[in-house]
Amino acid sequence: MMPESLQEYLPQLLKGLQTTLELTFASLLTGLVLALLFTLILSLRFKPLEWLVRLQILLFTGTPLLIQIFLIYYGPTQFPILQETVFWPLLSEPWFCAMLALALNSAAYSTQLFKGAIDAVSAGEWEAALAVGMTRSQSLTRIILPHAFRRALPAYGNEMILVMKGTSLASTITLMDLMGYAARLNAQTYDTLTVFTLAGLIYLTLTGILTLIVRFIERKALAFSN
Amino acid sequence: MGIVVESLSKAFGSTQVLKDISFSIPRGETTVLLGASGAGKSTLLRMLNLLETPDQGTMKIADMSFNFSNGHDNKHLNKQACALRRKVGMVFQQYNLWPHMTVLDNLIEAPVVQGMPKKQAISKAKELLERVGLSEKAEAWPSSLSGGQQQRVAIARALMLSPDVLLFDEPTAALDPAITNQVVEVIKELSQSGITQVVVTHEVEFARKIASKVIYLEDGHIVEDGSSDHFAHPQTEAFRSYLEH
Repeated sequence: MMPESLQEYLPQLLKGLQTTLELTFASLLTGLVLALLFTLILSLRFKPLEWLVRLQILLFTGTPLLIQIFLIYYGPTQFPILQETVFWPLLSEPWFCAMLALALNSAAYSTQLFKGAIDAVSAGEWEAALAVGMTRSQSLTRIILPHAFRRALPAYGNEMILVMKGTSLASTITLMDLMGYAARLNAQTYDTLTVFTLAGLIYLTLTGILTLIVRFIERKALAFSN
Repeated sequence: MGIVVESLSKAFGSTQVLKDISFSIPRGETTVLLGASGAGKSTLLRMLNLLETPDQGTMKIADMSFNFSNGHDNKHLNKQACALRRKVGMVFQQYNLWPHMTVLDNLIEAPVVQGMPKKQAISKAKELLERVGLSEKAEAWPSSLSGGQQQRVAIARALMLSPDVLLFDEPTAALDPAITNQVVEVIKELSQSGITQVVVTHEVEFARKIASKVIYLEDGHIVEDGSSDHFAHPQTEAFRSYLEH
């Protein structure tokens, strides 16, 4: 690995960084909102919706992310009817499709994670909330969820990192993220080892920063358990 | 009027836990529900704030009346249960403090949700913490407190809504015998303030110290019901032998 090639490749690769970061945060945020909604549906047992959420979880945790990205991006073009709807501009946009696939995938895993954390909160805490005259939904939103989310934070930190790394698959549907630029650079130079080592190091740095941020939040949010 | 219960019954599946229970408790009394484990005393206590729903019978408590005999509409009952629980506080064996909230937040949560201004809630919480001897623990996490301290916080939390009735479910069962006295002191002090208290326990010594009235249950029935004199002069053979063992 030559220093001069580093100087040449690094700016090229970093051009994709913004897309990688945008995709990561947009997917995480959308996934989180969906996961919160799904968790509420599962916890309050809204019957028909509950089955839909369970199906969503089954599909998105049971199939590879790459297939989900392909189906969401290439799938709708098979249905001309869709091309006349207001969603078409979004569905024909690779950035949006990648974001949607990542968000739905992350929502499925996060919902399982949050639901598990809620079930792990002791029944006594529920009862204590009911016993001071709170309704079931007040108990859930004011007491049980805040406790459960703190407990789920370390595992959710891992999920954030998985999504960040998962964005690299978006390059397969023409998106020029970090991985997209790395693939292009590799095709131009055939300097595979250097290019992908460098790309890997950038992902590693992002993971490190994310881990530090999550650790910091964990220290605050889990202070009560020490 | 304190608490009047008539013909309450409850079954879990095919097991009849409570059979035709009737009693009345005048306002301001501290009543102990005694009995071996499995006698149904905790279930009976949990009915008084509708954490369990009776199958049969009627109940008057904290100026509210309930009739369970002609079936009931769950939604309506849930609403009534919420209103009832604001007037009937409860203290649990395992304290059940919310571990992720400070002592002060544990106290002010319910009143603030129910519309009390936060400032007023905080000053009331500080008063109550002083009353149970834990003024300096307002900002502490529950996990940093001893069992006796946690139980006193739980009592203060139940008192935040100024309940007419306070229920205790085995409040000392998880505590060292030496710490039990902290809870005895608080219950005695409360009984002087005129609040109606109902305490489930199987510890006879603890019961003697706090009771002004005693109800002894065996196998889902009330066997003995009377003033605290019954500790010295039990009326039934069953209660006598329970006190002796």
